[in-house]
Amino acid sequence: MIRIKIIFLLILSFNVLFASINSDSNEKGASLKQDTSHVNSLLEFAASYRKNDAQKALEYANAALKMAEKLDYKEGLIKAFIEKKKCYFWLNQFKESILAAEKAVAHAKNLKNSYWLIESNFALANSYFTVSDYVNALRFHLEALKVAENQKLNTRLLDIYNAIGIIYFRQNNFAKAEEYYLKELNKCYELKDSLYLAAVYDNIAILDENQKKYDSAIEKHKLGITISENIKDTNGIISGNNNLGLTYKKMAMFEMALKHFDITHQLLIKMKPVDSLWLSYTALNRANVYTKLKKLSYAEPLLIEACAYLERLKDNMGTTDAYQNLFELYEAKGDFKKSLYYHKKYVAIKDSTFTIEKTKQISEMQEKYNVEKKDFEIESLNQQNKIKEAEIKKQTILRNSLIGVAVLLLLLIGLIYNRFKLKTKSADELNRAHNDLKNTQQQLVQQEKLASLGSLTAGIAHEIKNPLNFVTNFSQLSQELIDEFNDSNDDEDKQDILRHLKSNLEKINHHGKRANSIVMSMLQHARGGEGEKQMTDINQICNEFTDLSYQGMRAKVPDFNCLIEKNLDSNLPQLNVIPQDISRVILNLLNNAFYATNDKFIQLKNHHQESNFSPKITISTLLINAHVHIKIRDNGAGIPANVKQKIFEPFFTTKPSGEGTGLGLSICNDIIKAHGGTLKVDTEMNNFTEFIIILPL
Amino acid sequence: MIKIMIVDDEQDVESLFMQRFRKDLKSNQFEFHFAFSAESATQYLSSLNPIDIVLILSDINMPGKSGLDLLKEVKSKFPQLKVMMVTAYGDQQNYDKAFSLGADDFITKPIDFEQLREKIVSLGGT
Repeated sequence: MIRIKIIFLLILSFNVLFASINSDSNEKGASLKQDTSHVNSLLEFAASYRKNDAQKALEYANAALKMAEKLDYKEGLIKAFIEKKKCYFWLNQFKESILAAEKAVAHAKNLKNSYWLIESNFALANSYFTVSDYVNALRFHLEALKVAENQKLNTRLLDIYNAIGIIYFRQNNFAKAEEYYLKELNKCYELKDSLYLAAVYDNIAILDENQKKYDSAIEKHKLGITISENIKDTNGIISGNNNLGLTYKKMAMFEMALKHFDITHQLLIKMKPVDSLWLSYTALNRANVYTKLKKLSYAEPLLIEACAYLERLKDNMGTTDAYQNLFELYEAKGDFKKSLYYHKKYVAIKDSTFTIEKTKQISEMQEKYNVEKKDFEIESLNQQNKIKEAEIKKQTILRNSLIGVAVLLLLLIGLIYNRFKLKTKSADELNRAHNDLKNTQQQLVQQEKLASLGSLTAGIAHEIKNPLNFVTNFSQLSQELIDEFNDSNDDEDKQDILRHLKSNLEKINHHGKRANSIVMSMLQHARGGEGEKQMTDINQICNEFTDLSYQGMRAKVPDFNCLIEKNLDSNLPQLNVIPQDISRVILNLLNNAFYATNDKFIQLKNHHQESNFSPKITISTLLINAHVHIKIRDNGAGIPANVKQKIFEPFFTTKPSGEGTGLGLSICNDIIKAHGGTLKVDTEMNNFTEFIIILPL
Repeated sequence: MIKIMIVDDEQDVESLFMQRFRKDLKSNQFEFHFAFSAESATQYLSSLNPIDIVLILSDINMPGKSGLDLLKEVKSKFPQLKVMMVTAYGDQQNYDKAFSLGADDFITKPIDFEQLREKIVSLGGT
């Protein structure tokens, strides 16, 4: 959520930026006046097009540039380059944006004009800020600040203080950030500038919030909002309420957060033109709070709409957030299918932005190190100056050089230590982020498993209660039979009772076992990964379990015969899998295959059809594109289309009551998914069924 | 004599009912017909002329047509027949669905046969 906050910050500072129109007060000669005013009109055109059609704005800026060159109109050149810089920003061409700003600075230096030196350096600093190059951003802000303070000019002073504060805030250097915000604050009071005053209170509040000083943060947010309200600055009121809402959210005061997000929303929909990006971010914030408040039906439509808009806009950061909110929402709702759908999308987009984030993270850490180094350099420069003064005073060259060496040594040691610390830190943080991701993934697999079980209470009730019904009633009946046996004098009657008793006890035994196996299957289904992954010979598992399964089938159906064909790829590499789990899947699929062939055989026999059908199963392994394919094929009756859709659903079975729990394929599917693979089925009625397990290397 | 059809895909139901109601069967108070699917139940019903059964006891969860499908069909074709649902699904949803389709009674498994006997007598007598 912080990301959105920073965007708001940025938007705020850019809005302030664009709000001020370049004033052109120093027209040089009356003869040039008309032509220079032409340059300025072109630039005004450019400024008005910039936000909606930056390409067109750039054309105007280039035209202005050409004309200014022809007229040797220096200020026009600087203004045109600054305009180009802004156009490139809107076109997302950041390199070009920096180049244009550099040209503006060069021309301003030639002109030796303080106002334009400040403006151009400020523009250049902002270009660097956009690409997260905080060292250079800081450097040119300080350059601009130096000119402004030396010449006692207030030009851009508030903007510069604000920008430097934000840079330090981004670097988590809260003390320095506060220093510059306070400078800005004092200047605001001095200049009686309420617009910036409101913004700086908001920024200080965010600083407080990050240091967990929530009371102070809320107070300052409210102060900022009040100031914005007094001067009727809608942008300020909007961002103030949004930021206050975020603070309340961080404090887990969701009702209050919602109140302020609602205010933000209300104001945004009244704005003309409507800023859909802001509106989408606000929708995300509101939906997030609704989810926290368990008002899921409010959150859902908000998220879907915002998500669609952000997707269209290709706003990766917002879309990632929307997906995350959506999968969390559906998880809370118990709609695991949709939850999984959005989680997949979330992971996909996160993966694609992960590398970007990672690079950015590293570069930010690098920058942090550089900023600290810069501070150090400034300090050591000051120190060197002092040493020079001492040298003049005492003329003790030896001592001075000794100090110099000592300082240098210290500096070196400090730098090496600092660099070492930052490097380990960045590696640590990356590892942690990676581990977090892995843990979340594991939790999700487990959650999915439990969820599929949890949503099946009715199925479980049925599966357990049916055998239980028989156990209860047949045992009670047997007690009555024993009483009857004792009361009876007729031998034949007694024999009859004993026969009934035996049959009842068999039934009790059978149904007791049936209930037990259902419970066992359920436990296996719910169990987290107990086995450990190890390098496993898939061919060996296929060999062993084909025999095991066949023998199992023959034990049940003594006259069962089946042709078994094995096509095992002898060059198959070992796979890093949980062997018990993969064995279970293969065994389960083999059992199904044998069952299917036997079933078809019996069907044909029962219908007295003369046929030359002979059961056959084929098991094959092969390596395709760094994936191991395991295929188990039978020549049974095939699976009808309507059944095929459901075979991976838990408790779905076509076997007669009592013969199957309907959990087998569901568990198989879960296991293969947990291994990052896929389980597919290919079938043709009356012809064959083939299950294909695909596992990554 | 009350003639009853029992519909359940669990085959052991037959043995259970025959033993449980053996006295009533001996004294010709009850007579049972067992159907192991909803399809065979409707087939049996349409083969009867006249329909001499007065009560159907049906499971809900069965392969193929469910007990609720059967209930709906029976109530539209033979409204005079009483239907009692006997199911492991004791949840409110099934309960409400069964009554909205016109079920006369609803009991859950494991079956309490004393209670079932009373219900059969009262339903069969009216």
